[in-house]
Amino acid sequence: MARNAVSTFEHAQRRLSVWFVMPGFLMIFIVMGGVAIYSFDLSFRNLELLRGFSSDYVGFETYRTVLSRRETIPVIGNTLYWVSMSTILVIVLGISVGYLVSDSTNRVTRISRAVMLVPWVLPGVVVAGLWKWMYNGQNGLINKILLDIGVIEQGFPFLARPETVLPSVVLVIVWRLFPIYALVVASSIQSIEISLFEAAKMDGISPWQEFRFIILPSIKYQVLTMGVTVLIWITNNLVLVNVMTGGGPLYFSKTLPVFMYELGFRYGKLSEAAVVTVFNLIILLALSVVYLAVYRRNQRGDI
Amino acid sequence: MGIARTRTGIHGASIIRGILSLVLLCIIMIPLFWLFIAAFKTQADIQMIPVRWLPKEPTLGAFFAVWLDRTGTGALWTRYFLNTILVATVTTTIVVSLGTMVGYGLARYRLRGSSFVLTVLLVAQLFTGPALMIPVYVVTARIGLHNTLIGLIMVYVVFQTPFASWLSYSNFQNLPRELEQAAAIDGCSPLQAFLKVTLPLSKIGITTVGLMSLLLTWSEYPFAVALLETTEKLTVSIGLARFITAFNVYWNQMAAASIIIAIPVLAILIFTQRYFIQGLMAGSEK
Amino acid sequence: MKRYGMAILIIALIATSAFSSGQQATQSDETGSSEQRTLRVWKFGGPQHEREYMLEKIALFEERNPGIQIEWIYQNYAERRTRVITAANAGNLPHVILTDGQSIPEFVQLGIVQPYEQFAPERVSVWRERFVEEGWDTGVVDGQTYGVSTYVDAATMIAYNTEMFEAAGIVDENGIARPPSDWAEVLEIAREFRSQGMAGIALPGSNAPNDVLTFQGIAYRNGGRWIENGQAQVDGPGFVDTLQFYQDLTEYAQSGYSETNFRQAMELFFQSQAPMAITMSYAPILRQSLGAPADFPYNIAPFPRRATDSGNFPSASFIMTPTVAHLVPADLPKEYEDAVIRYVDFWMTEEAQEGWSGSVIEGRLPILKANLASDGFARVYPDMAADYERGQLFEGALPMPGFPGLAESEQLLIDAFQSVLIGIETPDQALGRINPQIQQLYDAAR
Repeated sequence: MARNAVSTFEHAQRRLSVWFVMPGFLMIFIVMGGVAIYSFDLSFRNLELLRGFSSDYVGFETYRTVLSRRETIPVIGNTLYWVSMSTILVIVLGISVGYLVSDSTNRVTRISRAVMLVPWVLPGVVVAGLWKWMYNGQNGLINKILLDIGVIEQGFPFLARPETVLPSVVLVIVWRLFPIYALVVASSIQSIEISLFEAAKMDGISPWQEFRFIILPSIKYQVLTMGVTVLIWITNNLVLVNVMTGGGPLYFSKTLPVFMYELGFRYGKLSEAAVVTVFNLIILLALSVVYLAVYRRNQRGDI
Repeated sequence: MGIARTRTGIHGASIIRGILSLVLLCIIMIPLFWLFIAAFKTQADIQMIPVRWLPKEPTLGAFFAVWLDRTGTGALWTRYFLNTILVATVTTTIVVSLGTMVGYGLARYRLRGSSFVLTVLLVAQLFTGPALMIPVYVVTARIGLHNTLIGLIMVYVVFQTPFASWLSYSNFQNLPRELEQAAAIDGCSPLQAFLKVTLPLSKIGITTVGLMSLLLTWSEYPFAVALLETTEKLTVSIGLARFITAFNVYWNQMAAASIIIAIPVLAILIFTQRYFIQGLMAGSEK
Repeated sequence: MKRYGMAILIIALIATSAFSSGQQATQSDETGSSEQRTLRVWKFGGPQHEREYMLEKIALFEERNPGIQIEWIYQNYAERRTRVITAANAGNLPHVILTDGQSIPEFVQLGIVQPYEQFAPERVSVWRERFVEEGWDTGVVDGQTYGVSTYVDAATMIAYNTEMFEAAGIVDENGIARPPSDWAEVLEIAREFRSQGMAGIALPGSNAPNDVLTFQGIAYRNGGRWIENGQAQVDGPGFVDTLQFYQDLTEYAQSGYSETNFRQAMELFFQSQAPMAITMSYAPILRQSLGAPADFPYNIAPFPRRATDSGNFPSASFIMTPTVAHLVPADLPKEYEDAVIRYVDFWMTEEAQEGWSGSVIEGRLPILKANLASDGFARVYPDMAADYERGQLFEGALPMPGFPGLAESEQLLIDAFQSVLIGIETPDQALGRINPQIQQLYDAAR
């Protein structure tokens, strides 16, 4: 009797599942698919606001125009630098700091954990504005500190120099993202079975061995998947660079999203912006392959 | 969770930990402190060369300036605030509902097409940023959703549901099915079982999804600036960006405004941070 | 309990929004009747205290015209062109647009705006009488008036700290500080002060369009032009030598000149961090909004010329643009015409414009004759007031360059400008590179 009820129930539940999945899925699939296709379509046209909303198909002409811009190649280079450096730094710092603050008995680490979400919670515009100000060569806080401790004798304009501008904005997104990453790592470390540590202690292993052979393997999945989430956030970030430098000086800090924004919203060259969007999508698609691979391993063939 | 434990494979490392944590605290706190005190400075203090740590005469002027100004730099903050609350609550409500439904549906049964749906959800997450800004801008301008809060909400819902679905999918997977089957024996319909048994048990996961959506909407900038145009429609992040204009840069007012904006979010986070992080972590578990 | 609270909150919010949109609906109902009109006005950019002043005047206008309400919307100056063009395409332009004169030719080309001659011919001739011709012409394209403004901004000026100059002995025969006489002297003074450990000159060299505009002012003064006789001219000596001059100056300028925009340059100047600054006529506005003391010891003069002008064209004493040019969209509904005329008419009076004489807003160059003859103007710009009295103030002044394709050409110039300032290209290379591109843009837009 009971078994029968359960099987009827399961049957009904299966139907319910389908009804549950459909609305959300269809919405995502249709809208995002449609928009993605539309942006491909747009990239083969010559839509420019300065000529109104009418446009013609011009094949790869717009691609040629974009590629012939002298900043395009440097911008792609900047984007790769920005994405890889930021992600690596966030993950490395995140793991170390996560390990550091995973100890709940230390009061300082507890206080640290309490404030660690704030950089991520602050609106991006504020973070960007704040750091732009702090980096300023004339009245910036960083220069004040460096001057006070005698590292430099004259204010250094971090965002004005081609060689320092990109590393400087990378540090800002790292500052914004490594704390939340570290919190997830810390939380994962805390959920490791305590018996593992106790056994290890009896074997008398060093802290480094403990970290390398017990902690890292246990938090591998969280590190990877959260890492990919961070990677997406970084790749999609427009606000930080746009507000801090506008891509300058010249194009030395311009990334693909900034380039796209500038082409589309400043100059109204929507088709050229769509081409840049396509470049960005290609990078993102390459990343999705990585993402899917991570999840396949993670889920052991669940997908 | 939260078992206080000294992992004292780390021999006497507590002091080193303390010192390193202090350094960490400085790195995080100094910029925040700088922002905080800026709100109590005058415009002259802000520009002062050489730079001074503390305000010469602390003042609440910036806060008043933010709320009283009506010329459009920081104008109409009450309006921006209400708009943002409206957009954020509606978006979060819809995203949480849709995300929970999709996540639950996927987690309970492996249906035909499940893996396709999951793949779409994963790939869709990658495209949630400015990647699709241009087409969204053109499309909304054409179908008359430009400069409407409804349009903005729709965009947010579409772009946030993939992550929300994914997160709740991972969370529901950790919930045993036996409880629902027990409910079935008690005569519950699947919907009742979901509402009465599963939902209350997945509070952490749902809170995380909700918070994530709330936080992302609260300070979203690129789409807001692309879609919204007129003052009475703007959200706080655009208002914030307007403190940095060509003619004036009001760091103090921006700081004051961001303090006001951060208060509700921080208040929520104080109570939910632990669940939030746990939920994110569970979301990345296998 | 919590859940109920949440639900109530959400319902309340939805109700609020429904209510507010309902309110808008009633407003538009009102505008449908023959009596009530709500004029939507977009204002792009401008400093805060100026906007406050304008809002006060608008309140006065509304008081006198109970049938007309003004819905005033502030917009980001950097996005003015795309915003207007998008709105034009989507059919939701406001009734009046306040923007710069340089954008007008592009809007005319696209058929977005209409000339006043078309719907208010008799008013145009009345207004015109009150203005200086050169100033009025900044809103005229092909003989038709598209934009009417209350002032212009003029480039390029030099601001100099009179105290520092006097201490350094840079004075005229009466012992009063004087501006440098030519480029060579500017360089020399900058070098002198630099050797004392301060910035020799505050140089705006960021990628902000205004910074490249101040550069253009000097180039025009040196006989340079963007386009002349349908030919792009930026690779001519007028522009090239000016850019070289800028590059020479960077050696003595503040560090970080490529992130310093026009406002930050004046921030340095008004904190006595530099003895002089390259700026526009709006420098006094920045003094006001930066909160520097009213008696700050400084003076503004037209930027010195090269010892001999090297450009191929006549030197322009300065270039001007109206940044609150009132534009009227081409698709303005007939029933709004009367209200728009009344509104613009109000702004074309001495009463509405009085603040720009220098009494409220310092540093906008008035073009209304009454304002130019006022005491306020004489106080803010003593030298220029004297020039005006002699009838020489606007001699040789030109409108700022405006032509279809400007937005992108300007971007190219910014690119060349920064490229030279940070030392990647020489002025010859950079300007030679962009000149054919500008030509192409210009030809394509025609």
